[in-house]
Amino acid sequence: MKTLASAIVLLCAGFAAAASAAALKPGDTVQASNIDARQTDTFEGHTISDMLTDRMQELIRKEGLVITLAASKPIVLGKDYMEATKANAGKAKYNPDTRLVDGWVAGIPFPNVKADDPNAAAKLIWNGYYAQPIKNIQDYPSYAYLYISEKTGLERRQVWRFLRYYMKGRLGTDKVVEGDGSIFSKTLMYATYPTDIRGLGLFVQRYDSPKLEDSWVYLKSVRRTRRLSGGAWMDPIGGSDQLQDDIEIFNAHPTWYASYKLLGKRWMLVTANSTAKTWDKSAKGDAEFPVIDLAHAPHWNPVDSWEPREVWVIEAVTPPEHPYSKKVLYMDTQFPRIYIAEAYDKKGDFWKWMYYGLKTIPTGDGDRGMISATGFTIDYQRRHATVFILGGDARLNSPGISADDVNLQQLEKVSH
Amino acid sequence: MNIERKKQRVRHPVLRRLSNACALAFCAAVIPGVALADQGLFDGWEVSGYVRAHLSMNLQNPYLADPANNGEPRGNYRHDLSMVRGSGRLNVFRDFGKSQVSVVVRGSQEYKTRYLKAMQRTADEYAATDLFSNRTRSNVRLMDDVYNDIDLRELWWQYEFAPGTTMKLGKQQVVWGETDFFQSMDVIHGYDFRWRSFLEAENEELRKPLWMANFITRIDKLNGSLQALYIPGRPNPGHTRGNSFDVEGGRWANTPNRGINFATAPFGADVPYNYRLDGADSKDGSYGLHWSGTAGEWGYSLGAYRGPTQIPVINPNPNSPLGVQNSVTGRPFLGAWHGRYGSDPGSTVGELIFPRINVFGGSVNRYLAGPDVVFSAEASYIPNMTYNVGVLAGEAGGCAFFPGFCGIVERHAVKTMLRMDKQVNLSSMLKTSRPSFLSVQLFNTWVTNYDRADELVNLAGFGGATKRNSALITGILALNYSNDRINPTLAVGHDLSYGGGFVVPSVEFSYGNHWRIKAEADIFFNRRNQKRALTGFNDTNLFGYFAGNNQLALRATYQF
Repeated sequence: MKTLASAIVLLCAGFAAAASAAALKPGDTVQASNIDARQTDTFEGHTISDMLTDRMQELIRKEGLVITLAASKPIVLGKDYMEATKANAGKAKYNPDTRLVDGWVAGIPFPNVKADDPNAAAKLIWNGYYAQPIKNIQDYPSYAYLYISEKTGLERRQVWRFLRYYMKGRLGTDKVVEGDGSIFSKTLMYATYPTDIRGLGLFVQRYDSPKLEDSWVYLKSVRRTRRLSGGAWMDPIGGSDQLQDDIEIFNAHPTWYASYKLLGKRWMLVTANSTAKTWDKSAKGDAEFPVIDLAHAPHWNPVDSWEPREVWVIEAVTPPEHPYSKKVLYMDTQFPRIYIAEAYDKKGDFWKWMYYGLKTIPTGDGDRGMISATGFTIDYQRRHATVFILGGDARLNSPGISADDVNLQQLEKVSH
Repeated sequence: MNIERKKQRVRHPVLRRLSNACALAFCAAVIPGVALADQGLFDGWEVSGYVRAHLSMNLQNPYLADPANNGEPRGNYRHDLSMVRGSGRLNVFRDFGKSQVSVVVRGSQEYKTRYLKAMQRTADEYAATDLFSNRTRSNVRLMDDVYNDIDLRELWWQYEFAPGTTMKLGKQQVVWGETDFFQSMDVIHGYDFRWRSFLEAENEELRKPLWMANFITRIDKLNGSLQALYIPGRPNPGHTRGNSFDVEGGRWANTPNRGINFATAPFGADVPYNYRLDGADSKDGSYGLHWSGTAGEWGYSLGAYRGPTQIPVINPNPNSPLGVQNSVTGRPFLGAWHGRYGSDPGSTVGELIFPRINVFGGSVNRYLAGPDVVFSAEASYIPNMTYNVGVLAGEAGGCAFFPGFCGIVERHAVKTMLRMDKQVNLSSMLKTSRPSFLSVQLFNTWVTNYDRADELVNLAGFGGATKRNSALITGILALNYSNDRINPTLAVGHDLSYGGGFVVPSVEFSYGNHWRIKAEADIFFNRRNQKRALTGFNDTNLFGYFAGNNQLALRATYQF
């Protein structure tokens, strides 16, 4: 009888909780003032608490992060991307001994990774390395790096031009590989603002092998090109909070990391279809970058729309000389893009949080590709952030650009 | 007398050139602009620049002669301001797609400090000691002729007339080679070392731009590009060629020559520039061919150049009114270079000339993953490089009053550089916010057909004898703090052959997008230096020239 009474009480309590849990609507927010009340609320059938990592809960409670819900939308990936993935399915093989992939041609090398595969995490990382849904050319006439301090807000900015040409895994063309197959991509970038770095240019050649990148810098102040250390992949980019390795969250050859571990699969609130205006070049002050809450401390929180997506959770263990001990990555289960990551220091303490706002855009050849509208790297130990803001003029697969337009010889010419 | 005298104050000609430049820029803008009428002629121009203040203060009492007191020090200038300089620069650029246009103008104006006034007074008083004329002052006004300036730094139009093939026409800067601090393959332009010596880190500010045609074509099959340069003589006046060392007696004149203007020197020992001597004629065009590319792991370049030397030599007057003779060391007086002397033989003892030379060389670079270093090397071969000879001064039985005045000989020189760049992680030791840039460089000059009996001197006017091999080692360590808002740098150098060196600690502060403040100490040390002007010539070499020049410098920049 006593057991029965207890069961009735518990059942009533459960009904009461269910009765108070609400189904949230697009436009509703989760923020410090309501997060406790909304833990059990649902959005599109998922409980809010289930879609927030412990770190996100903490950032909402203590750091002023506000999550504005948006109705999830199917993500339409490029036709050529999907066709290449289908056409080349099964060709790529992961070799656990070498930690390398053989046989990859184009598209996602491992489109059907199973959670119980002992090499699942490594395969997902290789998917991200080889086959982000970008297409063949990233052509960004302008992007900004914003340096933000908790104390003073926006400290300064840099504006850069970016052009990357993929030499392998090319989509929508019979020439899937350009060159001899040793080079994976070539990247040209140069600063246009402020004046003291204007004309500073970089050329980076990434190989389809564990070999470190070759890179050169053109220093306009001395009018000379200088070779750079390939070992800089784990160093910060200039004075930013972002390591070279943090570009789009994971920017290393998969073999450079010590190991990977799949921690699981879950639903999460992310920005998969960024709707915010990132950069209003006609505005002044904080209003110039509406996608960041520059007006309110700590001045670096993103202001965009968040929707539920299913993600893989991957732990990437760094090599000993890396500043981090590990990164925990949240990658979409449908395509290899990482939305959010946590970086931990050598003592295992939380150090940085990375958040990317993604969206797809039409490519220059009428297909679709994915871009990072924003990229936040927030250092919670030094209380400083670097935010990547992509200009509205970003293009993918721009016509008229060839591999020869992205090379060392162009570096001096384009850096002005 | 076919002498182009030292750069006269040319405000009006400069303004005229600027007007022409603006007209050219307008044409350059209009031609490609026709195709862009929908954008509008005045749309799309990128404007940037800065307003800058430079201050420097003596940390020592630099020697400045008092002509009325037998060359004894004129006064104590320790803690005097040696430079109070304001400058502004405007960069205008437009990309028209197939073509680009760039215009860069810089203006500088200085305040005449007590120290600069004293140098001018010394120069005037020494000039007035001329034994052969009644002149009463130096022909150089330091403020107007050396420090205050308005300069069209660049005006070029670049057009890509075939994919990967461009022609860049106009006033521009072209740099070859890899070497820091010194010039090996970096032979296209001279530098103006008179207002800041070699200490301005952004050496584009010191380089003397030239009007030229610059053709570049990419050869993708060979992973490289070929560059051909033609630098016509006539649009580039003599004073824009070669290095401008401070022979006007200003703040960066070699110790003990502050206050001594070579062109109106003490007692009429005048040594003017002559840009028109046959074999050293600035009106002759210069040519260069340069290939740069990659081969496997290596980056490399090859270059050949014919044009004026960077370092002037003194062509002695065989009929010097102060007399010439064979040196007591056995070094005979050689007379004028190739028997040619262009300056007034009755009132000069020599002339500064820039003989035309050939330079052949190349460079390589490679990243070495094992030690995680970038290795660079460069070598240049200069056949028949010109050297002044005669280590003794007249007071000790030399050919003429000054060392190096026995004449000019031509010897083959090989300049080599080896360098290692490395990112070193000092964050745990120095609390930097990221790994630091460390660069160590060894630079050597080898006179291949060296003969001690030649008595080569490193610089005419000083008795420092050139060795067969002479080497310098330099290093740079750049640190970064607070997300690169505080950036200390240490530059050091040591002359392994002649002694001495420099230590230059500096720190630059970045405030927001616009303000950059840099503080710097320039510290020099030497093995030996000449103590007094016109006497006591000794084995003084490179860092002896900087004796007494220790200083603090401050630079504030507002950029836009």
